[in-house]
Amino acid sequence: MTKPILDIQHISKSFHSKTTGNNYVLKDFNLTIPTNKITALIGGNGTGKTTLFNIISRLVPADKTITKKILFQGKNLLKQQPNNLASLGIGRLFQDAHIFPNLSILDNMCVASDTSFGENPFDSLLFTKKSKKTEKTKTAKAIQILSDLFTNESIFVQNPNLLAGKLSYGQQRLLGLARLSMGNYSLILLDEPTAGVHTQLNDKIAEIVVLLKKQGKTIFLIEHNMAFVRKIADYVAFMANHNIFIQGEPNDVLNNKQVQQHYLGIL
Amino acid sequence: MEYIIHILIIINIYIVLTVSANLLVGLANLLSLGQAAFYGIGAYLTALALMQFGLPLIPALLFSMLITGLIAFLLGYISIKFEGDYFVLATLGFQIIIYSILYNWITVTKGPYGIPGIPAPKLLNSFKIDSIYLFLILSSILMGITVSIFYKLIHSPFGRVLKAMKDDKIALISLGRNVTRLKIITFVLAASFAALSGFLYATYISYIDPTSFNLDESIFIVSAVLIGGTGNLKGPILGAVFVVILPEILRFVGLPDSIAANLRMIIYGLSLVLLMLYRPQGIAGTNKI
Repeated sequence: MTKPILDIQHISKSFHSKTTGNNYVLKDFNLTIPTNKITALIGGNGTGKTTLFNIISRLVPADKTITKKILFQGKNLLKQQPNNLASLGIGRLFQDAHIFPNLSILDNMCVASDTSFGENPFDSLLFTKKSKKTEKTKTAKAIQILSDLFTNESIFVQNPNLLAGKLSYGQQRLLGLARLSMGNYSLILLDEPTAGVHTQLNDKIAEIVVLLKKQGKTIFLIEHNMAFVRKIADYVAFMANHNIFIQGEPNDVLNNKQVQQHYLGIL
Repeated sequence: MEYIIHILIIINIYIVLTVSANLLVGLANLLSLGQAAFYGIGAYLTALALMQFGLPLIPALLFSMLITGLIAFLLGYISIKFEGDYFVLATLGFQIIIYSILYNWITVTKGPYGIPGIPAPKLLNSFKIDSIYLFLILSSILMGITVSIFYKLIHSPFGRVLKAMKDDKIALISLGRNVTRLKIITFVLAASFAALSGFLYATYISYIDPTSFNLDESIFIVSAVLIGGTGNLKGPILGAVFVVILPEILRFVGLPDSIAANLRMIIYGLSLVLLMLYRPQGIAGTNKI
């Protein structure tokens, strides 16, 4: 395995119930994510995959333990504010579309830019020239990314001023993915990128994910679509009983008998 | 003629109030019931600046807006942490506290007796804005400046990021934007411009008392924004014109004052209910609440 970009150490997450006590979603969870590889996290529903992503993203707190750490390029993410993660180099695609429906495709892209100059009223009112210049650069970058990722006939290139809310769910997912190219990320968390998307679009999603990897980014994804995992993943980690059950190369994990029996339903 | 000019001045004052409240309610999705409190703070600070410090127009206006902005920053810092209904309740509580202070701190605000004789503001220490015509010009200029500032803000990356925040806060956080800071900036901006309305009101009417800045007034401001429409500037401007002109129309119909006042409230209420049912973005708005 190459040098890890993300090192998750001793993470636990439990929910307390009066009748059943502490219900663990994650229990002393440990995992390392190698740099510039695609690592897929698989496992049954409710095994804590999205909870793990939410803990990494600082949207959900992990249980209080002394040893817990999530090291990203040497920095402990558990000491960061959620909005600081993007500037550290971590981007995320959520399980639902999470695009901005009342903004155009182009504006969705521009909001995702790694430059936020102009986004406070003083920039807009007092530094008009610089603000306009920044905006022009952002728009040009967004248009370039859209035309790099999609064909000239696609709605993203044909009509970038269309409201994102008017796109189909699959197109919204693609926009969410394309938006990640606007940031300066070295690690991208993808939560079920193919969920709810027509199979025709899966190839396009795979193409974009592989392209992101080629650009030097590390991909850590949660996925239930095993064909998709086999196609793009360099490593697979299988979760069961609040922890990693087995990890390794896709064929080793997906051909493991216990994984096949318990998760893939192959007897 | 003076009657029409009076109506135009009041419309100008309300346009500043609704356009600034629109930034909060329509773009940032922060339904504040405390805008009248900032309107009142602005008016009382104006009285202080003109009567105690003898400041000319522009310094008095800046004094009123800056101090109100500072108070809004302190209150925003606390209340912005609340979400949704809790934020509404926090601003409601703040509105009630400010009203109580204005009503009971008699040594400073003269309580229910109000502050009479607020002098006309002076431009450059010599030119007094002391006629209704000059006041129409002043209020129109300040309203025009406010509208152009807010037009620029709504159509700037700041406006875009506010719309994004309204659509999906979590996604915006994941893209590295500081949502708390955005909300505080919006809260302070809206409060400072409500203070500008307070400045215009105090100098035009030349008398202020707490009843002009109570909870009813806050609800009235929000209603005007919701009726006119949110998300753009046409909506709040239309809302301001509607709420100021409606009572005057009822007056012309010849209804007795007691009936007209109640009928006005019924029309406002009915308009809100019908709009929420059939056009939640308001008459000319773009964003749904």
